[in-house]
Formats: sequence, structure tokens, C-alpha cells
Amino acid sequence: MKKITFMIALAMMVLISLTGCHKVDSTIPTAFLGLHMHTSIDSNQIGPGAPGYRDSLGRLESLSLADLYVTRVSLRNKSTQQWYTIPNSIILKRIDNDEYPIGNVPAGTYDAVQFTVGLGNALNSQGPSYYMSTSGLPAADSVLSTTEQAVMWGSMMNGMSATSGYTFVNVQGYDSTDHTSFSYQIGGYGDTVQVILPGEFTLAANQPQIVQYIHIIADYGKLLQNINLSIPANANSSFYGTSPATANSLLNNIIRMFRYECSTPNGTC
Amino acid sequence: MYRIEIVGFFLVWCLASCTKDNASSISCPACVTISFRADIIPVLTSQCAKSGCHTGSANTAPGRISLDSTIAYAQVTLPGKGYVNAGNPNSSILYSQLLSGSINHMPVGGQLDPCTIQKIYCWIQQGALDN
Repeated sequence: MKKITFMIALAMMVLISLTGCHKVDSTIPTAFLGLHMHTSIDSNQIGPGAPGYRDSLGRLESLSLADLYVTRVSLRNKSTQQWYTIPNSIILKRIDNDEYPIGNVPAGTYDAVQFTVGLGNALNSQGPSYYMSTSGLPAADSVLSTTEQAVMWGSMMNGMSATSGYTFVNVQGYDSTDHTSFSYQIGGYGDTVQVILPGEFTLAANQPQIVQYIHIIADYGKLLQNINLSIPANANSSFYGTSPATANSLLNNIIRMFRYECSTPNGTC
Repeated sequence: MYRIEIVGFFLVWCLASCTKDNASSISCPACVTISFRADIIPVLTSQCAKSGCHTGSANTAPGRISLDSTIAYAQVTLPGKGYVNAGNPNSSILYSQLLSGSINHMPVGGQLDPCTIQKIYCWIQQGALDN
């Protein structure tokens, strides 16, 4: 009898030891990444209604609209040099919004961020409902929303058809130096720009979905660089409408308009 | 006697095989109502609103918001900026950048104690009121 009691006690102890501990998560540790993307002219943060600021060339500019699509956000693993693309990373960056939670990525140390400005042909051919179902964008940021219709080809642009795809940069404002309004809609099929920002950072694993933001500046002063606004024809442009040469210049400037808020993702500034 | 030794061995094994949670290893006061003015402002003033950092007028440089006591609330709750998302500390930059190992960790060159961080967490979770 004593032997049975002892065996039961022993079994209970073993049971307690196996069930009383926390389970070790065997899945790959992840971090939840977001982009904190500021809209600026040179070193001044701007928003709708903000006063004009001088760009790096000294021109006094203000913006009333500054929309752009950022897609295929990718991180380069420092040790393997392999790119990890965050699934369904589609951002509609707007002038008045800076925070863009994106999704889970493997925790680790990375040495570059890459993203595409533009949608690419495959995404361009999708209807607005596709974005609703895959991008995770809130309704207010969807291309279906009234406020974002201006981003979409075919609905607002004269002479455009719905099959022309989506504009991926839509910027409007006023240049006080040349006393002229400007309005640019850049995009359509076949036109995307790859942006790579080198810089090391570590994403620590966290389970409670704490968003770890990479801070990036979108400098519209750089976007407008080398655009001579004293020539009226340069003030309005689209790839499929007026002044495609100016649109090309803007497209080439996109790659220069992004930088980290500090010198590096982890740097102080 | 031999049995007691065996039982003792298993007891020790049971206790040693369990790991301690990080969160439970730090004993902070429970999340009572946090006052922005009484609890949060002193932290921002002493840790953030320093010369060359988050002080001065409402800065226009990206990310360089002023956390001086008179304008800190307006600055951290600017719509669309994500510094404080009322009710959701995990997506609030004011909280996430205080955590050890975060990108652009704040404060620069330092680390707030866990209970101060928890206080900020609680304030945001309670709705980030200007109280």
C-alpha cells in the first residue's frame, strides 16, 4: 500500500513538473514592423495648411496634397544578405499621416530597407476591391474612399481610362518663389521606383505586437528639384497628359526624396 | 529515508525546471489612474525636454517634437503622427521607443526604469487623457 502511495505521489510530481512550466515557443521569433514616414520640405515637417518652407535650393514651397503609394517593403538580413519582403505591404502615404504599421517580420539584424514607390503592373491591374482585401488599409485609406479618388487614374483625370492603372504620386501645392501652383500626377503601368536605404538596425523579438517603427523622411523639396516652375508648362504634369518630360524628371527625383530621420535607422539626431 | 530523498529530489527539480517571467520579475504598482500632469509631465521634462532634444517651440523638424510641459500634450497627440494612439500603447511611439532594444531607443543613452515605462503604458491605455 505504501509503495502504491509513493508511486502515485511520484507520478503527481512528474505531472506537475511537466505541466507547471510555460511552453517554450518553438516558432521563429518575430517583430512587428512599422514605418514612421514624415512628409517634409527639406528639414521642415509639413502638413495640409502648413506654411511654405524653403527647399534645399531656396525655393519657398507649400503642399496641399502629397499622396504616394509605397509597396513591397523589404529588409535585408545583415548576415545572409537575403531580402525579406513583407507580404501585402501596401501603403498609401498621405500628407497628414505618418504612422504605417506593416506586419510581422523575422526578428534579427538588418542592414537595409527597400521599398517600391508605385504599385507595379500586377497590382495596377487589380480593382479597388483587391486593396480592401489584401492591404489591410483602413477604409479611409482605401482607394475606394472619396478622399483618395484623386489618386486613381480614370476617375479624376481627363482622358484617362480605368485601365491606365493608378497614379502613385499625386502632389499639389504652391511655389511662392515663382508664384505658381503646381499639380503632378505620376504613375501608371511600367513605372515604379526602387528605393534602397542602407543602414543597420535590429528588430527585437516581441510577442505582444509592439510596433517597432523605422523613421523615414519623404522630402518633397527633393522631389521638385530641378523642376523649373518659372515655365508655366512645367507646373502641371502627368505621364499621360501634359508635360511628360517634367513627369520623367519627377520620377527620377523620387529615388532621392527618401532618407532616414537620423543618419542611420538607429542613430541619434 | 531513501524515499524522502527521492521526493526531495523531484521537488527541487520541479522548482528548478520552471522559468520566471520577465514581467513578473519586476514589481511595479498596479495600474491606477495615471495623471498626465502629475505623472507623465515630470518624466517628459526630466528625461526628454533637454537641450538639443525635445525642447523649445513646437519644432517643425520631423520627429523633433517639443515635450516642454506647456505643449507636450498637444505635440504627442497630433493626429496621424502615431506618437500616442489613445488606448493602444503597443502602437504608440512614445511607449514603444522606450523599450529596451527598440529602434531609435529613447531616451538617448539611457533607459527608463520599468515602472516609469509601465506608467506611460497605463496612461496611454487609459485613453491618454489631458488630466
